[in-house]
Amino acid sequence: MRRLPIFVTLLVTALLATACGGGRPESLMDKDEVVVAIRSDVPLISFRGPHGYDGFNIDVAKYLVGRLKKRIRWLEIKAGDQLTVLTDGRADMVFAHMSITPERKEKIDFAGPYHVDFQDIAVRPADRDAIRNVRDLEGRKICWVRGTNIAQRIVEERRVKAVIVPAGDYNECLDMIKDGRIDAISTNSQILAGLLTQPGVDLELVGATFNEQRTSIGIRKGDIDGCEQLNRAITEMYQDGTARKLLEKWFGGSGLDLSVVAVPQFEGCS
Amino acid sequence: MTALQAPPAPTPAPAARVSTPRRVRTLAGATLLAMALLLGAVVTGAGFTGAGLRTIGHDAGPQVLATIGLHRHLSQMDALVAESLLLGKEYGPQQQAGLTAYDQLRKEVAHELLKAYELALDNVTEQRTVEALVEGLGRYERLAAQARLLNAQSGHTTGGPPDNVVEVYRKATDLMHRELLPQAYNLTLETGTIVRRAHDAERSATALARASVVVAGLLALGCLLSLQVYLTRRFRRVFAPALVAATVLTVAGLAAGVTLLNRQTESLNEAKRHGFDQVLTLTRARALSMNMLGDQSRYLLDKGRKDTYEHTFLDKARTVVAVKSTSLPDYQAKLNDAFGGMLGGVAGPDRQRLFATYQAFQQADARMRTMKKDAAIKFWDGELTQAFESYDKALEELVRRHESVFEAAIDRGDGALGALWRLVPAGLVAAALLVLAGIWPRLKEYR
Repeated sequence: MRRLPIFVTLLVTALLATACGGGRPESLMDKDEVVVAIRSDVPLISFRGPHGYDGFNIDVAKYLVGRLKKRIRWLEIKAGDQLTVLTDGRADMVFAHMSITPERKEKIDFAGPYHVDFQDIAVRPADRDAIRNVRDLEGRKICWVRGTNIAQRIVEERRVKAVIVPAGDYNECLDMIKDGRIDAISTNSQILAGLLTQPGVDLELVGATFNEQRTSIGIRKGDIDGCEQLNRAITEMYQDGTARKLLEKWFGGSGLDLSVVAVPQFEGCS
Repeated sequence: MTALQAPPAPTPAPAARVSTPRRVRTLAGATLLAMALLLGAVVTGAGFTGAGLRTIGHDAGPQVLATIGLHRHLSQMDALVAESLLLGKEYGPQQQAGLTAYDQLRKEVAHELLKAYELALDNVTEQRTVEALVEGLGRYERLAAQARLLNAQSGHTTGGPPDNVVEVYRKATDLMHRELLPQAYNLTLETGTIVRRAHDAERSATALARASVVVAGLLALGCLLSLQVYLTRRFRRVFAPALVAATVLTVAGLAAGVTLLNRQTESLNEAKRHGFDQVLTLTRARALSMNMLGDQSRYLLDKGRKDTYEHTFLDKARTVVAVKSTSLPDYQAKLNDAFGGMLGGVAGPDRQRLFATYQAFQQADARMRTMKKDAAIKFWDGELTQAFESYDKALEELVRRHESVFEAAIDRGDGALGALWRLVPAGLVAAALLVLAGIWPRLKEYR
C-alpha cells in the first residue's frame, strides 16, 4: 500500500511524457526574436542605407514581424544561401525576393507570396519602339546572370530565339548594355526598377507583363503555424493599405505600373 | 461461492478491533475515489473529443466544405464572360444559355459568401476579406456588363471582338484574377486552418485524457486489489464475489474507455486526412483547372497578352499535375502518370482514370494552339471544352467519394461517443455499488 503512490507517480509521469512528447516541429512562433535573412546588395529592395538596412523587403519584413509581435535580428546573406540558412537552422525566415519552385519546396516551405509581379524588360531609350514585348527579343542579345533562370525562361519557356550573353552580376549587364554588347536586360520588374535607379544608368522599362513572379518568404520545412500566421499578417498588410503604401514609397517613381495592386494568392501551408 | 462459508470471524485484539473497520473504510474510500477519478477522466475525454467532433464534423468542417466552391464559381463566371465575348452573334442561343448559367453562378457565389461570413464570425481579417469580395464583385459586374454591351453593339462574328471590347474585358478579368480570385482562394485556406487547429487541439487533449483514464483506471484496480488482499488476510476469505464483480466491471470500464476514445480519435483522423483534406485539395485543383479553361479563352480573345495567358495556363497546369518541363509543349509531351502536384496524391485506378482525362484535355490544348484563330475558337468551344468537361467530371466524382468518406468517419465517431456516454458511466456506478455491497457484511461484523 505504501508503494502505491510511488507507482502511480511514475505511471502518471510516463504517460504524460508519451502524451505530450509527440512534439511538433520547431516554429518561428515559439520565439520572441526571429532571425530574418536578407540580401544587402539589391537597390530599392534590400540594401544597406545610411541608417541601417532599408528597402521594400526590409519594410515588409518589419511590418509582418511586427504583426506577429516579435523582434527582428537581421542576418545578411549572399545570393546562393537562401536555402541553406534555413536548412541548417541559422535563420527563421528568408526575405530574398525568392519565387516558389517545386525544387525549392523539397527543402523549405514558403509563406506568402507577399508580392506578385511580372518579368519585364529594360532597353536603351533608342530601342523603346523596336522592343515592346518578349517576342521582339527574337535575334537580339540579352543578359544572363549566371545562377538565375530568367534568360532560360525567355528562350526555353517562351521559345523566343534570343542570344544569351552571360554575365557575373547585374552591374556587368548594365556595363554591357551601355556599350552595346547586349540589347536588353530582363528580370523581375522590381529588381529592374532598382537597377534603373543606379547612377549613370539611362534605360527604360518596356512594361511587358509576362512570367508571373510570386515573391515569397522562405521558412523552415514543417513550420505550419508560422506559415499560417505570416499569411494572415500578409492579408492584413493588403487590407490596411500598407502594401500599396510601401509599393508607392519604393517604386512610385520607377516607371513600374502600380495602378493595380494584385493580391497574392497564397501557396498554402502544408 | 464456498468462500463465504469461511471459518468464523477471528477474535482480534481490542486495538485491532478499532483499526480494522477503519482500514476497510479507508481502502474502500480510496477505491471509490479512484473510480470517481476514472469516471471523471472518461467524461472529460469524451467532452474533448466530442468538441473536436462537433467542430470538424458538424460545425466548421461542413461550413468550409460549403464555401470551397467559391473560387471555382468565380473563375467560371469570368470564363463565361470571355466565352460570350469570343463567340460571334451567330452563336445567339448559346450566348443566352451562357447568361443564364452566369446568373445561376452569381447566386451560388452570393450564398457561399454569406456562409463564409458566418464562418468568420470571430475573425476580423477574414470578415474583411469577405467584405472586399462583395465590393469587388460589384465592380466586376459593372465592367463585365460594359464589355457585353460594347460587344453586342459591335455585332462581330466569330473571330473575336474589336479592341475596345477587349480593353474593357481586360480590366474586368484583371480585377477578377489579381484581386477577387486570390482573395477567395486565401479565404478557403484560412478557414481550413480553423479545422486544422481544432484537430490538433483535439488530438493533444484526447491523448492527455487517454493517459488520465489509464492512470485513474490502474489506480482504481490497485485499490480494489489491495482491498481484496486485505480482506482475504484479515478475514481469511478467499473471494468476495461483489468485489470480484466490481473488479471485472472496472477492467471493462477502463478497456471500453480507452478503446472508445481511441476509436473516436481514429475516426476524426480518418475524417480529416482522407475526407476533409482530400476534398479541400481536390476542390482547389478543380478551381485551378476551371481557370485553365478560362486562360485558353483569354489566350484566344486578347492577342496582346497571348504570352501572359499561355504562361498562366502552364503555371496552373504544373501546380495541378506537376511534371518537370521547360515550356508548355515540353510539358504536354512529357506528361506521364508518375506526376506530382496537387493531384499527385491520388492513387490506384482513380489515378489512371483521372490522368487519362487530363491528358486528353492537354492534348486538345496542344492542338488548339497550332490552329488559326477562327478554327481555334470553334475547336475550343467544341472538342476542347468537352475534353475539359470529362476531366472535370472525373475530379468531381473523386470529390464526392471523399465527401462520403468524411461523413462516414464522422458518423463512426458519433457512434463511439454515444457508446462512451451510455456504457462506461453505468458500468462504473455499478462497480462502485458492488464495492459497497462487498464491504458491508465485513463492517457489520464489527457492529
